[in-house]
Amino acid sequence: MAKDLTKASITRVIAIEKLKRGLIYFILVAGSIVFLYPIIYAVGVSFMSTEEFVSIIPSLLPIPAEPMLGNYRWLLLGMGDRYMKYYFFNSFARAAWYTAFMTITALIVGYVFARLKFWGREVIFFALLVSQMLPAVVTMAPTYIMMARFPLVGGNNIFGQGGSGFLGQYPVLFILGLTNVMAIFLMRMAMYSMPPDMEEAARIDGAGTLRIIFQIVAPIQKPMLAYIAITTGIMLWNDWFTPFLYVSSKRHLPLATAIAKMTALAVVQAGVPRWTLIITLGLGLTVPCLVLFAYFQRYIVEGLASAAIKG
Amino acid sequence: MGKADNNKVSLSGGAGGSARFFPGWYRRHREGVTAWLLLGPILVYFLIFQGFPIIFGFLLGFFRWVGVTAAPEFCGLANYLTFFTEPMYLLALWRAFYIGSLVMAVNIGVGFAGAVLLNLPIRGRGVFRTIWYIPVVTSTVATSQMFLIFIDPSVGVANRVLKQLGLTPVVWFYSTFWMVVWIVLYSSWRGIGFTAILWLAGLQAIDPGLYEAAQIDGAGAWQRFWHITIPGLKTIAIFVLVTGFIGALQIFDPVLFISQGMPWGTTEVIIYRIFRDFYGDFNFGMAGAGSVIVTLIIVAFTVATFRLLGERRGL
Repeated sequence: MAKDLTKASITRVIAIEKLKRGLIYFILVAGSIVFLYPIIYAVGVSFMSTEEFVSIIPSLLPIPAEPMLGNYRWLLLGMGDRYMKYYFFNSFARAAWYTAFMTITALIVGYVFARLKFWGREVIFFALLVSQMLPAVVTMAPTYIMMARFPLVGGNNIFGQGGSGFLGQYPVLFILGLTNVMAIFLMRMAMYSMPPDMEEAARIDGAGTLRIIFQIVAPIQKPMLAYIAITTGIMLWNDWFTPFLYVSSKRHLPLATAIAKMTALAVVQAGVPRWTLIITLGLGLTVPCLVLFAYFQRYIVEGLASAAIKG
Repeated sequence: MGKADNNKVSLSGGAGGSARFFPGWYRRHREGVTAWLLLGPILVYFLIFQGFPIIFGFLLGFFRWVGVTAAPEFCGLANYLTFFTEPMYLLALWRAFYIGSLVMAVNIGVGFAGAVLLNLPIRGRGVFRTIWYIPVVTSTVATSQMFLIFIDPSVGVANRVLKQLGLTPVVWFYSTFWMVVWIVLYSSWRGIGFTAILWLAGLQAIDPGLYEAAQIDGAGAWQRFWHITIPGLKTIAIFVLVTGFIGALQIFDPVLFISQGMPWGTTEVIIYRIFRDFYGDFNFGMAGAGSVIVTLIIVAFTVATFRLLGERRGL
């Protein structure tokens, strides 16, 4: 920038720069407050009893007069709801199972689509992508009927009649939606940008395909694998819908669904939901995700970026 | 699956039956055999649990089918006729369109501004990026409840602020307008970070050399923004718009948890309507017809967008 650099103009430029910088920080901080506010508010409320929460004059920052741990006893020690440990276990089991399954299949299938030549490759891959494009709602009711009428499960005969199939059965929480086409797609894309030299060398040394995938490709693709694993884990941890549709026994519910059942139904049935308890349980659901995210955020942001650019 | 090893050592070691019986065929096709062995189980699963429901879903709309145990009864286009004659459905579709579009507009606009700021070389940039993205990883079940306590008519913060300003408190749940506002606010709160990161990825994909060259040529900050940044974001803009619209039309969780279609069903959106048909009334035929129509709209929109833009990217 060609400018006459007199002393006055320099100080003016610096002042403008400072003002600009201040404005940028102001917007970013304001945004951050907006994004964090509900969570901070929830933390305050979680130390209140419902009576206190209802009786206080609502303020922007709820500070409990006498902090009480009753909600946390409920959440962490299962006092008040002895199924609490099942909720946590089910959430964790689903997240772990889906994460492991989807990550490993994405790795293998992604490799197969990226590197192996076989009859029908492009057609199958295209079919997978098209199925991904359809909204989830189109399979909601059909899957439900299919599960209810699944042959030879839950008292059904071979034609799927007579019983209730997978409805209310625990395994149904672990068998639906196991193919993650987006993950396969991203994996394939990531593998295209990988030089094939090492694989070829390993092949000449006599390594089989699975061995190449797990010992050579997997370490190189660690960032993408981490992205798939974390996003899947968080997605499944937060998934309340599938269990909501298929199981009803409290023993089978994950935490997210347990909360959903307390809220949407409580408002209709009981009138006054137990706000502070629901909020505390919500924190129990949210905080593990935040910790995971804070720890792995580099992978998430990078993975998302490459997903957006390649997708 | 290890039997599909691609090497001669394990071949002679009797790794695959096919190798022993058809040595020539296997040698010519072993890559294909390996691929199909690895892919096969997943494809079988996929056909049963994804493929079948999709085909089934497209047929469902042609049947009158209420209740899981009831027998379906073919009724032609009756369900589709209901969809277009019962105002409830078209209204729900329209609401999904306009509420979703509002959410999308806020997300894209604020997300873009955020991305530009988060891309500047300032201190604490990483922390800001993290904080802006935090709502995205939270659960809708949990955070929608946090919003619900803000708009509680008697103990909510929103009314507290109104009272402080000397205004009359509002019972938000009685007003369609305010319910829409809160649904949009909640959805944007949760979605802006995602859109911002997408924009940010787009900004970072632009070659920094272009900016340097422009600066040397004497282009100002705004000129660089208009002539380099904006054109450079074309790909990501298409992605954000298409995925944003598809997501917007399917808005569901915020409506279920915040308004439940209240007041008097005036915030009922199409996916919520389909969900009610399906899970409330167990009217599978109607749910099937509704979801086919939503699917067709989404597919038509996506195909049209890519046609118009002449983009051929296999998606």
